[in-house]
Amino acid sequence: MSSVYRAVRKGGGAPTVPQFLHLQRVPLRVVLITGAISYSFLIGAVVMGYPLWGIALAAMLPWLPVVLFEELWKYEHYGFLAVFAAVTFLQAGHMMEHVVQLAQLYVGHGDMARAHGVFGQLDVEAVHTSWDVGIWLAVCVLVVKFGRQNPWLWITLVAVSLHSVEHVYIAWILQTDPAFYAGLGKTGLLATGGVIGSPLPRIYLHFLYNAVVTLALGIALWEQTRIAYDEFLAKALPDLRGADLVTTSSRLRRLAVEPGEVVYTQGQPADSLYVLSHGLLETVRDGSRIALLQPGHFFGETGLMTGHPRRSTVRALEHSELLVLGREGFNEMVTQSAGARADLEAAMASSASAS
Amino acid sequence: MPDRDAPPAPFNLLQVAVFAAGVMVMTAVVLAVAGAVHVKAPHPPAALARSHWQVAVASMALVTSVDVVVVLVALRMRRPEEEK
Repeated sequence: MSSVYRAVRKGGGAPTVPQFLHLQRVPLRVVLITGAISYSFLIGAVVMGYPLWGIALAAMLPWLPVVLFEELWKYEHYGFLAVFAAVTFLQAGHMMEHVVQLAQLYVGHGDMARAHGVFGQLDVEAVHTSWDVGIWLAVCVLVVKFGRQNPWLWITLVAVSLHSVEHVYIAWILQTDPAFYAGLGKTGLLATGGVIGSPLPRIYLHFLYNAVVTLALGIALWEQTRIAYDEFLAKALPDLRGADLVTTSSRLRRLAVEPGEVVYTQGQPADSLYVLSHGLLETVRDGSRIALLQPGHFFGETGLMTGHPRRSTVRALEHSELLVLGREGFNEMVTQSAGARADLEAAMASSASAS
Repeated sequence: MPDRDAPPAPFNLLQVAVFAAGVMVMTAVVLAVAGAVHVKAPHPPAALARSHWQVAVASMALVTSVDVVVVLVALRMRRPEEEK
């Protein structure tokens, strides 16, 4: 295969939202309930006369557990890509602060004293430096991790580095020459009055830096998710590779089962392949347990390969999460990937010899 | 995430266009808002002390040197099949 990137792109059709960006662990109803709670908190905070930062905090807090649960699932299944998404998400939040700041400046007819963003208390040099240098270092790690596959990360690195040079200079001046910082020093390098200078005052220049960084980082994340695959699928079928792995991952759906719940029953028609990603299952045939299934195992392939009904019942022994591949996706995978066929046939042979 | 079977990727023209348009829109927004409001410059421009130029150059050197290391490490990272 010449390139996963090209192969996935050649798949054609209308662009669809990559599987990674879909909600997985958090059900849609939880998102809707959280949205309602967040809105209620927001209205409550407005009625109570909270300051802008209090209103924003009240609206954001209910989302924290939702985001954390979902982020955890993505980390378990897609590894470091979840960190990539978190960095992008945080940078987008930071960008929103700059948007609000610009809006405040506009409404306040250029009065800088009224343009400190939502969390105005954090509009101090130490926070700006820590945040922007932190994002720069995070992008450095992302470039090392994904740079070979993702040219958009290089554009992000250039933009975020320029921004960091500004902040390192400003922080340095603040430490070594506070009197100069209070005057021209805080304008930095490229802003009006800065070392190099430009027609843009600092507030606009830094808005622009953040806009470019956020846009490039967002496109880089989108690109990366298009070639991402579920690591549990990759572990279960180690010979399923490249674009086939990415395509098959996009066809998986998540299934959660509680203790005692049956995944499928002996004699039932086979319609899906399962990969266990969390929990513990048992396989029962004619009333006797024949195997325990742990995370990383796949099962259900025999019925799909032979067309015969299920030979056993699979039941959850504890809360478990499965990745389900329907018949259509399974057939496509088997047709296109000799590696997957080899893995499945080996598993069937092993299963046959064990029974 | 391991980059199994993942060689360097090309740019997508559509995305380059989106990015360029995005940057242009952002610049237009910034300039429009900047033109619409009046921001008082903190002080009139004054001659910078030599030491401030040195700090500026040192800041650029610091960030650039880290970037160079990052680029070298990223380019030297080998894919699993290249290691075999």
